[in-house]
Amino acid sequence: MSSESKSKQPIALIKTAISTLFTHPQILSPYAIIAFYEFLIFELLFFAPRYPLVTFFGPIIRKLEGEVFLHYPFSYYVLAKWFQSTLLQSVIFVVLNSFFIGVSIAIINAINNGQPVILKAAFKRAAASYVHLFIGAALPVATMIGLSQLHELVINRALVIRSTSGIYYILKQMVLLSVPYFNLFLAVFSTALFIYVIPGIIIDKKKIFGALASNFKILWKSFGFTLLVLILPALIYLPVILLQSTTSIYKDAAPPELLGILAIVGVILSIVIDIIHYTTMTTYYLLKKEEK
Amino acid sequence: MKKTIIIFLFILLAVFAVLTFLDKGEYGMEKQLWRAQKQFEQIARDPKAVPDQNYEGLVNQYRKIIQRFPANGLTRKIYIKIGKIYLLKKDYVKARAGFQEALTRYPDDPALCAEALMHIGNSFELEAKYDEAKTAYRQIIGQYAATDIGMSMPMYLITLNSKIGRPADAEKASAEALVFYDAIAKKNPETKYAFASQRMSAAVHFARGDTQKGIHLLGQMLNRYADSEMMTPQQIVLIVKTINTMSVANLKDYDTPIAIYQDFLNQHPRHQYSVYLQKTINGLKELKEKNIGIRFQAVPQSQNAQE
Repeated sequence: MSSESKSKQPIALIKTAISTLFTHPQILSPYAIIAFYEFLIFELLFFAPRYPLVTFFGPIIRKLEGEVFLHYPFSYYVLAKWFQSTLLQSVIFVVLNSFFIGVSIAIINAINNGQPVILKAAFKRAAASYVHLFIGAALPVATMIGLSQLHELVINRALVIRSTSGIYYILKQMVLLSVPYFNLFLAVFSTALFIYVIPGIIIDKKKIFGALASNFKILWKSFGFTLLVLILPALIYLPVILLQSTTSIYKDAAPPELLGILAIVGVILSIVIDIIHYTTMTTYYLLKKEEK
Repeated sequence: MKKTIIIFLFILLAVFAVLTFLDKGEYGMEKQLWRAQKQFEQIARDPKAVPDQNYEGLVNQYRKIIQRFPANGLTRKIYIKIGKIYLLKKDYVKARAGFQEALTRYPDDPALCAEALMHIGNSFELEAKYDEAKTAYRQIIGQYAATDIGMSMPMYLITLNSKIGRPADAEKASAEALVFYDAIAKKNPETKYAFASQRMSAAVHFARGDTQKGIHLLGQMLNRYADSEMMTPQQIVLIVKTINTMSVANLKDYDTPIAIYQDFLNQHPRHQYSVYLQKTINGLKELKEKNIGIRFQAVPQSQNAQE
């Protein structure tokens, strides 16, 4: 797929992965399924405060958020909050995305081996290792949640700072204003810690512990490089964070629908980032394997 | 893959179309109302700078919403909105016509009727037609007493009469207000109206200069509603602050509030606000010794009686 010299150049590696996606669009098929159910969930949440779905969702929204959130424009806050909630997106990622990412990696492996791409075979391959894929996807999610909890301790500490000027005030502002950006970094960092687990499970048919061992073996030599390769595509998410974290500035000028649009754009970008992440790192994994 | 994507898109569009079709339109109405409300707020910011056609445009917008959703629960409020638009325009005749429409169309909705009448009264006040305003307010007292607006009206009449320089009318209104609140409390015992009427009675006593009577009424309230849901943290703080202000600041009397709170503590030693009241007593005793102004204890949202 690429030369060895290219393998340690982040931009070149990402470019190679993207060109692979263009030459072999079959890799995108599993991600099309991911996009489909994400859109479907978004659609259901969008209609949740309206008849007939309100008969089911109404009591839940009323209990968790309050009566006002069943009505326009506040329903958009619930749509954005629920759709982007860590709980919902984590469950989707672990239960469903893990499987489809596995399928896409099986397709990349087939292309790399010069074999014809048979979707059914790729699905079979992922299905055979589903339990391991499930755990492999749960690990970065659990790590991210754990790190977020630690981050929350820092935020809580910053919140009790009462200074309105000086170094402590600057520190407080830095901590509070960087929350969404730091969360993005934590997500990338957690992904980086386990990024070679799913390729190991699918390509080398390893079980979870074997995949974890080979994951850390690769990371031991190239964690910085891996993190950099994962950070670069994740940067495309920054405009969404910027717009979401500054809604208080333009909320009177912008329609409430913007919240919903930002939520769906955010999820589309997450899928794009996942595509680039897993295609790039699978390419790297295969190159490392070939080097051996 | 193209075929798969087309199937997915078809499913998503079909779900969207079906759910849009099944929607009863309430959401659409809320959306239109919200947009109209935004325009209303824009006009309210500087009514003088707004051209006439903008007022009429907004009224037409509201009329269209009424026509499109005549049976919707939110429609009745739109007539009030129309009246308010004309109030901003200072077209009081049209404003009253809007409020009157709400009254005529929804006579079974006491809260709405009370609100419409309150705005009618307000429009007369803006024209300095105080007698007509008072007639509207009296109509609220007579017909819609058991509403939030109805409860506040007798007190408002006292304020209005004082404001326009009619002390004799204010005195008469205050006597009527006491009778009114007493009757409400008797007619609706253990309801929020009985609770509010006692608080309002105290306010009337304060307005009449009968401060001691007002303080004792509030003290009675503390004991009577000690275990009631109506005695929220906000209410208890409001009552304590009022007692302290009227007693200490106005009468320089520290003993009455101390006695009221002590009586409460004797009757309800394990009450969730016992700590708060004990601190208030201590604070008042300290102030009495030093003979300085008043300071209020911060009350937590929920206080443990076992503390």
